[in-house]
Amino acid sequence: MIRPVSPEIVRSVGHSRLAGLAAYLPVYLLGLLMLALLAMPLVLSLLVSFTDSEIIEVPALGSWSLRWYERFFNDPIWQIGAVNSVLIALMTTAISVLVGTSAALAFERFDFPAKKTINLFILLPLFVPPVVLGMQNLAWHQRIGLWGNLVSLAIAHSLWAMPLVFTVMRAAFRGVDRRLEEAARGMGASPGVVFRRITLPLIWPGLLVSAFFSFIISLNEFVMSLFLATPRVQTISTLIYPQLSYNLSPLVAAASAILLLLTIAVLAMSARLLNNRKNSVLRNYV
Amino acid sequence: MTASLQSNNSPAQPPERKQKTERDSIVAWLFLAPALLFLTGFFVIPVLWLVRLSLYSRPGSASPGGSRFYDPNTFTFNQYGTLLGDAYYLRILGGTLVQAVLITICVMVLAYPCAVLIHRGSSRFKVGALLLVMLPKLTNLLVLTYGLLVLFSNSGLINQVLLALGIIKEPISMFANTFAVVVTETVLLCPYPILLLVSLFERLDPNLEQAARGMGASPFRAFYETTFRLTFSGAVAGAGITFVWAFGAYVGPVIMGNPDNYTTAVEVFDLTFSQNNWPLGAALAVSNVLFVIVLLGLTGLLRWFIVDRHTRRLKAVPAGGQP
Repeated sequence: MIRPVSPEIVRSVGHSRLAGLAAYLPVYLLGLLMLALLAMPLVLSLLVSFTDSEIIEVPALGSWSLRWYERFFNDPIWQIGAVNSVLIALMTTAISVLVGTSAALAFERFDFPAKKTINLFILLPLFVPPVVLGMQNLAWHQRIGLWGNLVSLAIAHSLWAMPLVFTVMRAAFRGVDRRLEEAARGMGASPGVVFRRITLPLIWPGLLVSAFFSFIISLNEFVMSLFLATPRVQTISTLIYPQLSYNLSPLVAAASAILLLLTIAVLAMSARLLNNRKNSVLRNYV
Repeated sequence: MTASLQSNNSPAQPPERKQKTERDSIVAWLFLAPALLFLTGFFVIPVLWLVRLSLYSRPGSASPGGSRFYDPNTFTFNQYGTLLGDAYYLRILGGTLVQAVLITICVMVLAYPCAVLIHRGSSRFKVGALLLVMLPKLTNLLVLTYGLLVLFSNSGLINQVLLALGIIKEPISMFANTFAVVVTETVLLCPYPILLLVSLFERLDPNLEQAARGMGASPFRAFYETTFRLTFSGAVAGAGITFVWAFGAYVGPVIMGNPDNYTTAVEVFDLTFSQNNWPLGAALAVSNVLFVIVLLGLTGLLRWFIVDRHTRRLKAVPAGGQP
């Protein structure tokens, strides 16, 4: 069946490399257009936030200014919004990491009936449009008197963050060499000690990633927040939203940029911590 | 330890081991309990409550003692009657559907080449491009939308550049219309299919296309017969996800569109907050979910009919190139 490839064929493939590139050119151009469309908005909202003028424009060289950031941090409304956003994100992180990790542990270390169905059930909220999630949370939280509370938003955000933590932590638990746990058990350690001394250090990177992702998801979630926010409970997102429709001042760009910078900072931090952690985990074994 | 952790239902189990399996099962349910309780309390019951809410009648002056948002002690299918009977809601549904199809086509036309580009790039380019694709998913929808607003508005960057170059005399309207909505939603939704397709491309045998070329196929034909056909079903799955999200679009239509672009999602919000008609809003949200479920079912059927036939031909050829 398999015949040796003749030299002529190899040569002809080499020659037609240029022709191949030409054939792919339209594909590459469309691909680049997509990447440009992805990058432009982020770059632009960052640039505009540093403008010196009263209207939205990309600042010219030399007329950069931090005045809109100053305005943001001195305005009590935005201050409260920023504090609320961070508080909700921290609560979301706590709920999602605890609940999601516990479920992941059950899935990776034990057997129980209907595993596939329960797995699907835990992931289900990820496939429900945010407007529907927002509406049903609003209706239910109003019914049980949770509406207008920061916890209400954290619970809604956890519906998205928890399934993701669950997925990440399942992978983390799967990555742990079970023989290490069994060896410790065999040498007489209690399950609690095994978890604390063996499993926990090994799943630590997964826990960090989970926590950071939960935080970022909550920080940036908008549609559910819009449903659950009340005039007294606002986040940065719900404060930006009306400004987008009515009053386009560079202050919105500053608020957007702060969210963007906070997200990038959290991502960079997690990458750094993971790097350090990997080294130190490795060092423990060497 | 190992035996007790794995399900072992053979009848020859010693009794003490069987007991241990049962105890493990109880421990498993203990670890699962927080997630199950959380989802039941804040996902399942709210869904049921949403359905019940859609069967109340709206608060009227007739029930001064009732809730502000719905009339308790009522049970009626009136809200669904209103949705089905009113041409206004049917038009919104039609508009949402057409717009979602448009968005899905745009996303796939751009995402597929983008995935090819990322797949064929150097490893450093790959990392950078994938990060760029991920970033919009991790940043705020509003940050992205704001950036697009700066790009497309009448005094925006594109119009300014075109005016300065003398290509146009007056700003082109690229804002508050369907074009702006479709572009915005394309940017917001493209990460899902791109990531999916890149992961599919990475799994393909890179020699396949070369082999086709070596056997004399033109570059286009080689690409079509190997890469495209093998990733077609994945592309359809990506389009399905994109469609679900495009159908539930809220931010793009509200900020970048005009009222003609408003989707059912926008209408849910409007009914709930502007008109304070919670039962009708709930009914629309429930209908929205039902509609998407039906559509997904149809897509599944379509996939079964078209895609499987499409790839079966390729699979029928014995994999000669692979040892």
